[in-house]
Amino acid sequence: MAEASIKSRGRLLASVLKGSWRRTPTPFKHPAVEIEEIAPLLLNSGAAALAWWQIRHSDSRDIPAARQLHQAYRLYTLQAAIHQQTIERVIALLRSFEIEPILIKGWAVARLYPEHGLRPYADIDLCVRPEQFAAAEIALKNLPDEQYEVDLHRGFAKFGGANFDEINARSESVRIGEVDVRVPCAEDHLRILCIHLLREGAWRPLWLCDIAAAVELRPANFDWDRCLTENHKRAKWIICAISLTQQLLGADVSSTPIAQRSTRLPSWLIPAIMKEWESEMPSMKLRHRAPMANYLRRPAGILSGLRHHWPNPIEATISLRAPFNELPRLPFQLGTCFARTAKLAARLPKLLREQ
Amino acid sequence: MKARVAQVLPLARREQLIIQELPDEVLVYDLERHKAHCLNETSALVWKHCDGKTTVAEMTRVLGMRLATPIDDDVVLLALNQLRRFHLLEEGSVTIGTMKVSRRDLVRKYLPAALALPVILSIAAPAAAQAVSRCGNAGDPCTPAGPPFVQGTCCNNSLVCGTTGRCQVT
Repeated sequence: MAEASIKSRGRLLASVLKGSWRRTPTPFKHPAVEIEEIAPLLLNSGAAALAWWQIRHSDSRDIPAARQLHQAYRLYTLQAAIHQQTIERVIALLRSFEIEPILIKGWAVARLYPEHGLRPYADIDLCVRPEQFAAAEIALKNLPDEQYEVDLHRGFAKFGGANFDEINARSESVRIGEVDVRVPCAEDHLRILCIHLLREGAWRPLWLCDIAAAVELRPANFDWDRCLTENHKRAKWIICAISLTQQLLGADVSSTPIAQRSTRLPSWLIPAIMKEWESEMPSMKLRHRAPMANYLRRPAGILSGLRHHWPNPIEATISLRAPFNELPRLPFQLGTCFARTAKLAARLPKLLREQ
Repeated sequence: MKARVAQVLPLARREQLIIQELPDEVLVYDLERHKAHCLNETSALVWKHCDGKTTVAEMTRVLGMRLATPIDDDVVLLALNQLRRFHLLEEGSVTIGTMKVSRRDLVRKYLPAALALPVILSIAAPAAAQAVSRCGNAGDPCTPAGPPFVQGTCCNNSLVCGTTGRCQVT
């Protein structure tokens, strides 16, 4: 155990996941004690099946921690099949209201992996034309039950902008079971994945694996200019996210603009990610579980709520549309907090009426 | 009795099941009971041949050939007993309950042949293997992507996941 602790648990986790999105992962050399140490982190972050994919042919495959990872892989495999059926149902429903959504993340990126069960599935992320957003929300209330969460997005504004029609025109049609579903083209999707990772404070290693898979499996005619957009700052964010896949997960970024630019990441960035990956309860996860509005009902937990809602340096940077540079992040974190508080205050009358 | 059992025609249940075949096992999710199972290769082979037309005797022969080792009906019967217990056979298609098969005896008998006896495992989610849960209130869906629902995992300290896949107050 002591030996495993020499390397930080976050670094260890990154090392275990190196190349895990590939059909033939790199030979697995980690001793059992290291797997035992990071298994809870892998299970917690949704990267358990990818770790099993790495371990499955090694001598460590039969240790108790590896068996847990194997169970997660089985569970995700079944989830993938169920999730696929749900997507079919949701898409058919929206089409019956003449709404054509674009599927992003989740299944749309899982198809890049050797097996769909290598990543877990949360809600179904669908982007719709902004003017159809309200109609789509109403349509989804017609789902026979509410057990499937659909995360509906008003266009692509929060994933790096770009006009819905432009992304729609470039999107591709892929077959899911009995239906054809639109997914963004490889360039748009890579941009969406990168912005999403950073917006969420990069707390899940799985999302970095998604980006690594999207980079390595990009089509031969991948257009980097399209991916990096006309917005210089946003382009730097994307480059930063892709550089992380190389530095933390060993992704092959040769013959990409990242290889040519010799990107230097700000010194605070990787430590901020390691802090999230090493935490058994990352702040973002707690925040999703308990939005601040919930504390209007249970004010007793407000102090711990505030602590969980303290933005990590990465999300604070994105939230204030700031550059990733060596400047201290505290002002950005404070700024994000003020902006959020103002937003909550604006919603307060409505929330109180709903109590 | 043994001859009668050999002529039984088991029929696999196919409705309300999600089936995923992996290289050396088969995963099954029961949409009626919200339970997930993992069939090892031997169980999966028996289940695959439960078409209502293949007798136990024929299954034994096929299984012996596929596993490259001579086996008796008892291995197939053990598999059928388990499949029935996990509701993976059509009700009434097998009435072999009186035919007792001891796993311990079979382990002893087939150990020299290193035969993998039929096993069906229930798949329970390892702690925290679920994706991000968004639920914060009783009644919210507790497993983010719907089933497989996992009892005992949920949203916060005061809520647990109920059998319907919704959070309920502890």
